[in-house]
Amino acid sequence: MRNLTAHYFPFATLAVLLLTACSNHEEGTAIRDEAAANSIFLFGNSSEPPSLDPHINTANNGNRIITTLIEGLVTYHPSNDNIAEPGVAESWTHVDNTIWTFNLRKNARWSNGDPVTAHDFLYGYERMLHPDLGAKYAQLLYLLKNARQFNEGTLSDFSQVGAKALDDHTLEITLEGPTPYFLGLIKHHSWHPVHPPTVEAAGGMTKPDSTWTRDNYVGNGPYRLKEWVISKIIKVEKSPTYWDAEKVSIQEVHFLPIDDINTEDQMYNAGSLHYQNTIPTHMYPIYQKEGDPHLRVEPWIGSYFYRINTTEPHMADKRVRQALSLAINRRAITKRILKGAHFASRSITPNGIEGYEPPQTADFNPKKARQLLAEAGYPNGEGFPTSVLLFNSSEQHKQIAEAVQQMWLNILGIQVELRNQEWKTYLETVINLDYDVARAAWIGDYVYPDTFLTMFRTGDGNNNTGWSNPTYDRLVTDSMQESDPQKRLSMLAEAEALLMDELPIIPIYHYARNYRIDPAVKGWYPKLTDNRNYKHLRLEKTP
Amino acid sequence: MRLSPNISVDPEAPRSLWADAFQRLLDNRLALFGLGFFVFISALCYLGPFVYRLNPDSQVLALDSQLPFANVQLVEVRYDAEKATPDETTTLDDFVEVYAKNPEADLAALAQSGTLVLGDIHFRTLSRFHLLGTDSKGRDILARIMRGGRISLGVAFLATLTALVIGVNYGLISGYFGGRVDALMMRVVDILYALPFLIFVILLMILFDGFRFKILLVFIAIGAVEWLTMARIVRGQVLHLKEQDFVAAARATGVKTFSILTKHLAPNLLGPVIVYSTLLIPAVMLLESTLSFLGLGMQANMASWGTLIKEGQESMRSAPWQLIAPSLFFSATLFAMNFLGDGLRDALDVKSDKD
Amino acid sequence: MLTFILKRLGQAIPVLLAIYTITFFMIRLAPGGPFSDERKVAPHIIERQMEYYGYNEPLPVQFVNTLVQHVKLDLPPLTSHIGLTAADIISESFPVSLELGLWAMFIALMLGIPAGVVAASRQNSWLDYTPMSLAMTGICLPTFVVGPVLALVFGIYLRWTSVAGWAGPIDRMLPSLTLGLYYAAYIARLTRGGMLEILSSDFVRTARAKGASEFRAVVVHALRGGILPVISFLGPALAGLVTGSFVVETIFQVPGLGRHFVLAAVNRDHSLILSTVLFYASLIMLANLAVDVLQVLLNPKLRYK
Repeated sequence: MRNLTAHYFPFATLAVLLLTACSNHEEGTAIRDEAAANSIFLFGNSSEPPSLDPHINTANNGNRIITTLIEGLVTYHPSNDNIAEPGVAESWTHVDNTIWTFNLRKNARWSNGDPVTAHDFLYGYERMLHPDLGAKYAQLLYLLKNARQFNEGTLSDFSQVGAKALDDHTLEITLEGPTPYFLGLIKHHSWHPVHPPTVEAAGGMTKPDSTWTRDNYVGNGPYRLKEWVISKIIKVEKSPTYWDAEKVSIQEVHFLPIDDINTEDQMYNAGSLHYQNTIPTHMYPIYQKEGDPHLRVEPWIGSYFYRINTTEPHMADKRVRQALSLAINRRAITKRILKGAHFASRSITPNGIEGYEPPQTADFNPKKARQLLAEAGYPNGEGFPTSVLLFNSSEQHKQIAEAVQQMWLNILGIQVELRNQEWKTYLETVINLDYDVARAAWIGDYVYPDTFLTMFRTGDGNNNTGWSNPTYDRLVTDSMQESDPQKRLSMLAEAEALLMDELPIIPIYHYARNYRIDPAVKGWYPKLTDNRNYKHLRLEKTP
Repeated sequence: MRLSPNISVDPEAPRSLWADAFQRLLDNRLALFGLGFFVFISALCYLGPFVYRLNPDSQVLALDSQLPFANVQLVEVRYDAEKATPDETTTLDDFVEVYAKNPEADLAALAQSGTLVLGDIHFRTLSRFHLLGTDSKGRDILARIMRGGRISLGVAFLATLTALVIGVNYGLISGYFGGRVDALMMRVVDILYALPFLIFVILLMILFDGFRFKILLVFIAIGAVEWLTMARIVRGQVLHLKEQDFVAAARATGVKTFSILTKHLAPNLLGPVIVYSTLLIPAVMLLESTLSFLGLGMQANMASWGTLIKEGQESMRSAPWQLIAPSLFFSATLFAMNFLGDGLRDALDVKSDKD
Repeated sequence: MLTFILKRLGQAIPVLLAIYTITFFMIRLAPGGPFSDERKVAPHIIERQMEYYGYNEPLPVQFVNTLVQHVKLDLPPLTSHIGLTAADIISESFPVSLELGLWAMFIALMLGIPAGVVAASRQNSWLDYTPMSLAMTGICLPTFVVGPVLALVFGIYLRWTSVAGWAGPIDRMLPSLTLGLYYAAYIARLTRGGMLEILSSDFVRTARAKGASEFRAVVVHALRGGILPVISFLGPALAGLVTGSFVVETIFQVPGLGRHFVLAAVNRDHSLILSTVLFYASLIMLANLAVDVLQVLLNPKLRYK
């Protein structure tokens, strides 16, 4: 922080007070130290999840809690996203990445003592895919053979879907095509089992607002639900029936829904949390400069980009889109607005995916940008219609939009009108293509490039740019049937190179996870997906 | 929720009401100060930009947040020499980091002649003075405050005007015609009083956030909330006035209803209406700032004081002056308006001066 | 008096009906629905959700159905808290908002009345200006500035209170103070106005003439009548405190109803919005009724009309 001297008289008193106040946060460790002594992990969890049902939840904050309560076939490895840690499945084999056989451990138990069987998994898949449940993420299971047909209601016999129990402890899964990252996918809670008698007792398999998660949460995970006070706290405690209970070190995790990031930051400074989900951007450089040992910055599998509505006549020409991209000074945005907390990007796919080098679009070049815009018929921006830059209301999105607006005005001479909308309205506007340029973000579901690339195929529900390119469609779709991993990745790279030349989307930056965690929490390693298994964590008092 | 203060103007005031009131206002130093300050702020916001000519939107990302009284050296970067607007404006540090090939020599050359050409890229230095510092994107805070003030005051005045037009007409008609019309019209006001208005404003702002002319919504929402009290005050006043001799006389001589309303009644309503409006303006400004906090205020390119304060609040621990500067202007204006309003009410309220 | 109360309650019904109608159509007309998500949800899934939550009936049918559900107090299921109804949310969070509101009211009265009394006793002097200026802080600074500054000073710097949360008694302090400051200003003004009027009236002048000390004249004789306007303000103020606390609830992480309301609107949880609005409206009407009854009890000259 800059040094404030007293001769800025009008500001001095209050400013000094504020500054001393914020630099004082080291002392405050009382609450979390006491909790750590009792082996309670205090976790800032952004906001209250609408549901803790593994088949209903779509939110990341819910994902974290469900991961503690229910365990799938395989689970998250403490440090490596490419490794599947055995969960309910002890071992597995596969034929050509297409037919997978899982051997379930015999000592896996639900929290009421019942054994976990292969049938519970089938029940889970049937529930997730059942059209009457209306699970929003049912599509995540579409790579199961015939799952799509079952979910869309054209197939009513679940036994034809590619999953069957060979016996109580053997599960065989047949996929639509070879899927090398299948184990990475089934770590997600949409693939988790539920306890059939409990769900049946609470109104049956297909009741969309089943209350079993609130009244009687029966899970098979390392933790069980202890207390749930709406908008205040969700407490989970160590489950005695868990098969690996002796490995579980932390006794309780308390998830606190904190909507306001500045409040969360203050609570962390006051020592009320072990884990702070989000660091306000303006505080990041301060903590970094102080060398705060709690601060973590780790690459995350996410991209921040601008969508371009290619159905607008003036945006249909790829030279215009290239000009727009060339006129964005990404270095200035990430360094100055994001304070270096994220990484400037020239590709949609983030770095760090094994064996994949994302193709890059060209970097900041005003001269080239002007030239391309002139070639497209708008020399110095003349005749270019005023365009709408849409983003959902948030301070950070606004800052970036304002910066980009200024760059396009100064460099290209084009006028952009900023339009911020509240979240749900923004979603609808984007889907209706009622914009020229729109802010967007995508967080990968698994560590493989196609989690970013499939959505830009023609007519994909998440395309939302109106862009369509047969070559791209073919490359991406064909790659999904390719069993040679090397060849598969090079097809995807070719597709992304095309995407980065056509630019229906302009990459801005790749996300990093910025958070703070008490050094007393051990076993917490950087992960590209930021998914953790809490059973590997320990709380130790550091002197 | 409805916080309009009780305003009563004693109708049995002497004829020299205005002169008396003016004298009483002069006695109230705080109110006078309020008036003076308000004039000063308005002048600053509307005339200030002619003197302090920095563009409130001009960003210099590399500059970052600067303390008040910052004198900064900048470098304009042009990839085409003849271009009017620079492609990037940056700091000397950033110039060294990104563009300079031989930092010391380039910097010295730049300092000496003020211009430099490296490869195809043209550089030119300039310096700027920021009286109240800059925000995190290197935009001048004072310039933003002046424009924000125009927006905030504009919104407040227009919303108040909306409330005024609806409220005065409604109260005038209700009071003058009396009887059943009055009963019915006041019933409606009573019903509307029972609405949780703040809740409705929030709802309206969230649900119709995508609306293109959102600023209109702000006026409508705020104006619609605030006209009720105005209507009640005016009606009470009219009920009394119409029994007065001069109105009776006008009626007896066959003056048309419309001109009785406009020529005889309206001028006598001026006092309470002014008082109430003066107090309404700060209330509206505060409401607008709350909407900004919820992210529901003005559009992004219309940074009002509320927006500036919200931005400042977010970064209050890293750059406190970004909160303090707009808050000072905002609060001082609200103080001034409130004191002026209170003073006017004291001045026009005859009862408090019988001692 | 009973007939008066019954009559007023009877009048509430059309008002609630009107509020229901306005809110219902407002949320149905608004863009964005409860089932949209950041990732595209398949149309047949949205269709199924709409069917289950009763959104695909014709609008008039939905209008009547939801109305009947509210009349029977058998509230529809929520889309933002799956498995709950608005009754669960309100019964859990309203007591919190009410407690916050009462504490804030207490603070507002403790600050506002003394400020108003002192100011009135020395009109147009520095003893008038200073307390009124201080009291005015609450309406001249937005709550979202006052709150974090108080949290910073008392929570982080002085460590007297917690920064946020709603667990122990100490957690009540900052949110109540932040919210109370806003109302303290109004109460100070009303007290000052009421006191000025009373102080100039005959009986206080008599008391003064009889040699009662200034303190006695002001506090014993005048205060009783002077705070009457404050009492009539209490009803709307309490309703306002309880319904207007969402900013404070967000900043201080208080699990109250205000935060739920804003989140419900953001998430387009139509049922929760409707139920909460109706609940708030009933509350305001009850508060106003209570104040009217109280005023008549305190001042028998008024009649029930």
